[in-house]
Amino acid sequence: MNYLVGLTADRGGRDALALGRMLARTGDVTLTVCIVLPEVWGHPSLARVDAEYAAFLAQYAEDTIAEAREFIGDEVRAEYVSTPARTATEGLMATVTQTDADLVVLGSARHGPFGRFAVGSVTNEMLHTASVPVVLTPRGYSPGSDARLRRVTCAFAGSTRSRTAFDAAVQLSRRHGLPLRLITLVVRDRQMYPSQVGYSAERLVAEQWRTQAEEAQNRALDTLPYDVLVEAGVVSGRNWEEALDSLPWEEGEVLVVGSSRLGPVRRVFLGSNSTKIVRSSPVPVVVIPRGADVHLDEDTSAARNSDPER
Amino acid sequence: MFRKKPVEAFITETHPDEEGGELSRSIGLFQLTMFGVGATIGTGIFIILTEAVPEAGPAIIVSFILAGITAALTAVCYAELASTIPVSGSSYSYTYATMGEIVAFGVAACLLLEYGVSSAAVAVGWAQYLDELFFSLFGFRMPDVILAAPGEGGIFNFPAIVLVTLCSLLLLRGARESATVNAVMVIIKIAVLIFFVIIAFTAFSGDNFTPFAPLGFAGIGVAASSIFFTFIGLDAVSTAGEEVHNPRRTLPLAIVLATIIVTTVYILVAVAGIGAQQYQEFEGQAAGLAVILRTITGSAWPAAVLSAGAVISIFSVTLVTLYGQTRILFAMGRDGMLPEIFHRINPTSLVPVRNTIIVGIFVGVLAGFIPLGVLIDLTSMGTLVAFTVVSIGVIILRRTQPDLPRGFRVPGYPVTPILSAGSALYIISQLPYSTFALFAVWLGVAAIVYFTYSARHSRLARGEAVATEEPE
Repeated sequence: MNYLVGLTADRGGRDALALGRMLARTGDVTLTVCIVLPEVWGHPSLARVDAEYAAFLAQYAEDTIAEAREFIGDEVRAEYVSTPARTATEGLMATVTQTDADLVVLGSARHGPFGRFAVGSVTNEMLHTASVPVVLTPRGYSPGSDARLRRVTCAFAGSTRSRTAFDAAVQLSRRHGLPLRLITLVVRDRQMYPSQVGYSAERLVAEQWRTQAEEAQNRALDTLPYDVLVEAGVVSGRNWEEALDSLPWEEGEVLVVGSSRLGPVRRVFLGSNSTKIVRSSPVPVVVIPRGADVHLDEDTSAARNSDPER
Repeated sequence: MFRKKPVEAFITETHPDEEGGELSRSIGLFQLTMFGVGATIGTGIFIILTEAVPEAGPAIIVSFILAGITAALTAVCYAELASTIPVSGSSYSYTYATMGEIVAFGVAACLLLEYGVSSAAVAVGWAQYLDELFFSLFGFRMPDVILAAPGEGGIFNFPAIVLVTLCSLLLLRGARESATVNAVMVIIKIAVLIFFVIIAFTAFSGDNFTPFAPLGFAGIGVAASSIFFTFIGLDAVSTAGEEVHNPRRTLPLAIVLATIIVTTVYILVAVAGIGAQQYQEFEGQAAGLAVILRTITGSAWPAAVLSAGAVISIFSVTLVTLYGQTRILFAMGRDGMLPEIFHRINPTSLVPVRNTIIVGIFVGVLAGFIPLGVLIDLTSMGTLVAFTVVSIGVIILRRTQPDLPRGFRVPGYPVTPILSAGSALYIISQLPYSTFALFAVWLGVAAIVYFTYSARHSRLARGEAVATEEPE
């Protein structure tokens, strides 16, 4: 397995690196730490200004990578590359293809609250174009140097799209040998005002949604391979943040969400609910591209039938 | 058939003590009054004069007072039941707890008239004002073919269907009207109505008021039965019960105040309208208030202002009543009275999508193909019957479960509920026979549904776990 970390020389890059290190401690994972550099002109320029710039870039990449190498330590298998590209997204995507990465880890933009993820320009582009799962690191994420992934939580809504996320979460937890937690968020809608049917109308809807969610969870759990340790639950709140915060989170946990049906097949594309979850999650979020299930299904079912001990 | 759902079961199902609602528990008198005014005004005053004034003449003023008092009395009865059974589903749930399943199903059929059919009626009124707005602004009128029901020289009412569709789409997207929007809507509605009153008074002629009651007392009753439609929503005040600060005092005061404000505005509008033209002239005036303004002033802009106000505020009224309808059917689906489809929730939007679509289609068809007068009378019928049942429910619950905690008690018991039921029954008796016939057909359909489906599928009938106070 190969996980790609998008490295930048700022806090967001450091957070992503920390998360990548944590992810690579379990499972058979190699990290590829990639720094994307601006492309320089390939032909001679006046007074060699561009050559100077190129030299500066090379030095800069070297420094950043050295720093990253030191940060990662040698307990984790990691490769370091610098990719010249016109845009950060292009560089990252090219590296994903070259290294056949299974997952991309990205840092948060600087705006937005500490401890949550904020979408920046690069992550936004990646979220629209990536064909592999994208892991989003909350701002200021700093697990200890020996922290490892402890549990995989899947945000599950019972729809077909959730199914993809669910399969991916199962795959992730098997790969890392971790327990899986299935959660459904019940967010009570705002009330109509004036309402002619009383103020518990939306609670009624929320209760029904809870029942439906439990049914869907049970259906999904029935299909699980038997070696996955799993718990399931439904949490409610007045908004996504409240619902997510009401859950107990372990240090070293990630949350898996699916992509919207509006986006193209086999691409990540955040839907409105996923966007809200990404914005309010206190732990890193793994966004699964839509239609990734083909690959994952083969993987899990093969595993289920042949070598559950893998 | 007469099995009752335990009150405690309702309460357990909705977890009312969990966290509390969106509204803070401290709704004051002013807010609650505005809530009642907002829910009530706009349901019908823009369209009702055309239908009701020819029935009573200037004595329509008396009809308004009669209907207002009846509405206020029932609203007080609603308040007691709402404080005892604090759940959604309105009078359907109250009846289920007090009088048993079959009566509850009947009431639900009535509520379908109060919400579903009234949103259709309101949508037809909206179509008239939209047409009027276009005419005032651009001098363009929609052809009757797409503006009137089949019986009235058209094929279908296109704008009304558009409105219902738009509102359904908004509900599917999870749109909600907020307290702020409600406040804005109240201001718009009252502002345009006062605007109408002021302009109409410039053409006031006392002669129009003689004879005062050309059709006698019978006419007053008949008009009151049509007018009753405009008081729908006053009962909404009572549903805010559990959120109200000091409900014992605030609730009845807010109901009375809202009724006074609403009735005053209605009477002012009626007086101004009748002062401006002979009562016979109201007959058949589409978008009546706007037409009166144009006739008086001879220019288009006052009619345009009024129509614009009506178009905006009726939109919000339709949204709210459609929403109410979906949630009542949802509550019935939960009880197993209606098929599962009515309480499935879409995992992505967390909205009962199919329920909303069905309601949208049902109301859209009604709005598109049934004449306004029929819709109004049917709505009044359904509302009044539901109101009567609620009033009787207060008496029954006092007898069967006197010890149940009641956040609010009807003052003047048992006179108030008896008066309330009596006056509602009187107004019902004034409705035209055709309405009775339609209503009977409607109840017949409801009975068929009940006996073929609900009686066997209801969760109470199947003995499914409905939490009661006894530990099992």
